[in-house]
Amino acid sequence: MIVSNLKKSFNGKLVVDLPYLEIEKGSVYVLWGQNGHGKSTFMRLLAGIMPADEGSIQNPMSISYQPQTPYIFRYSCLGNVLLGSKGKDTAKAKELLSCFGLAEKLHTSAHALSGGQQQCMALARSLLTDGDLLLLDEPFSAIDAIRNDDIARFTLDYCSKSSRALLIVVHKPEHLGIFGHNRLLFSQSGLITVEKAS
Amino acid sequence: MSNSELWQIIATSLSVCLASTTISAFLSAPFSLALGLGKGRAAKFFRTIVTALSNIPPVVAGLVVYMLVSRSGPLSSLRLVYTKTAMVAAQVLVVTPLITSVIFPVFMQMQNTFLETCIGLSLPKGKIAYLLFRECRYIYASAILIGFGRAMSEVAAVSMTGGNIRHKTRVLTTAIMLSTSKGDFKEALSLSGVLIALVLLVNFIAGRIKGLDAR
Repeated sequence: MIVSNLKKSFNGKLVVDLPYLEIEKGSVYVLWGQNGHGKSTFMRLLAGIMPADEGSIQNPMSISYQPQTPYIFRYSCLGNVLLGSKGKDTAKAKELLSCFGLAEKLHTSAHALSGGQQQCMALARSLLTDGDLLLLDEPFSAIDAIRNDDIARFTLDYCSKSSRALLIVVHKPEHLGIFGHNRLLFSQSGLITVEKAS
Repeated sequence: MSNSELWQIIATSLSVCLASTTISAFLSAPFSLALGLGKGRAAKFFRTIVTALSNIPPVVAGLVVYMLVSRSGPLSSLRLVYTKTAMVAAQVLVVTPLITSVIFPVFMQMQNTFLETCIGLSLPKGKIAYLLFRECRYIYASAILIGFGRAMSEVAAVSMTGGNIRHKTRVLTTAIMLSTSKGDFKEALSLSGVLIALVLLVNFIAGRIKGLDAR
C-alpha cells in the first residue's frame, strides 16, 4: 500500500497530514500519539470508511479493520468470531478463543462477557479475517495487565506467521518494544512522522 | 348487538389491522435503512418529513385514500371504496411512518460502531443489512406492535374509507361511534372495554419484547 499526501481536516483543523508511507507485506507499524491527534481518523481513512480531503491511497491489499469500540453482535462468543471468517473456519476460531482464555465461553452470549473478554473476542474475530493488512485501533485497552503483554505478543506472532501487515494503535510504552521500531508519530498539528527501524 | 356480530366486528378489526401492520412492517424496513444509514441533506430532510408523518391525523390518511378510490378518483375503476382493502390502505399511510420513525433513530445510533465493524470484517452489504435487522429485532417487533395498537385504536381513516357497513367493514372503533350516536352508551362502553383490552394486550406484549432488548 502506498499512501501519499494524505490530508484530512475537520472544521478547518488539519487532523491528518501524511506526506508518504509505503506499507509492505508483513510489515508492522505502531501508531503513537496523544488522544485526539488523529490516529483513529487515519485508520478510518486507510480502511476506506472515511474519504480523505486530499492525497491518494494505492491499495492492492485486502484490509481488515477493528475500530476502537468494536461492535459486539447478539451471537455467542464463537458466533461472533466466526463472522470474521464468514462462518467457515470453526476449528481455527475455537483455537484462537482458547489462546485468549475463552475456551469455556464458546457458547456463552457475547453480551454476557466482561469488557476485557469482549475485547479479546473482537481481536480473535479480526485475526480470523483474511485481510493482507490488519488495522487494530487500541485492541488491548480493556485487557487486564497480567495478560496484556502476552496477548500483544501473540497478536504480533500471529500476523508474522501469516505475513500480514499490521498497523496498530497502542498507548502502553511496553507495547512499543513488542511491536518493533516502525512508528507513525501523531502530533497536534496533524503531521504524521514516519520513523522506520534502521 | 348479538355475540356473533360482536365476534364479527372483532374479527374485521383484527384482520384489517393485521393486514395494514404487516404491509407497513415490510414497507418500513427499506425506509428505515435509507433514513437511518443515509447521510447528507436529503436524508436529513426525509427524516424530518417521516417524523412529522408519524403523527399524521388518520382522518387525513383516510381522506387521501378516499379521494383516490372514490367514484371521481383516479383509482375508481378498482371499486375499492367502502371495502376492507381501502381501510387497509388508509391504515398503511398511518402506520408506516410510525414504525419507520421508531426504527430509523435506532439505526442511526448503531451506524458508527456497527457499520465500521461490519466494513472492517469485509461483510457483504446483504449480510450487513441482515445483521442490522437481526440486532434490532426486538425493537423492530416492538415498533410493529406499537403500529398495530395505533391501527386498532384509530377511527377516522377506517370510518372514511370503510363506511362502517354492518357485517362488512364495521370495526370496533366505528361500532363505538355508531352506538354513541344512537345513545346506546352501554353497548358503546362494552365495545370500548373490548378495544381497550386488545390495545392493552398489544402494548403489554410490545413492552415485554422491548424489555428483551435490554438483556
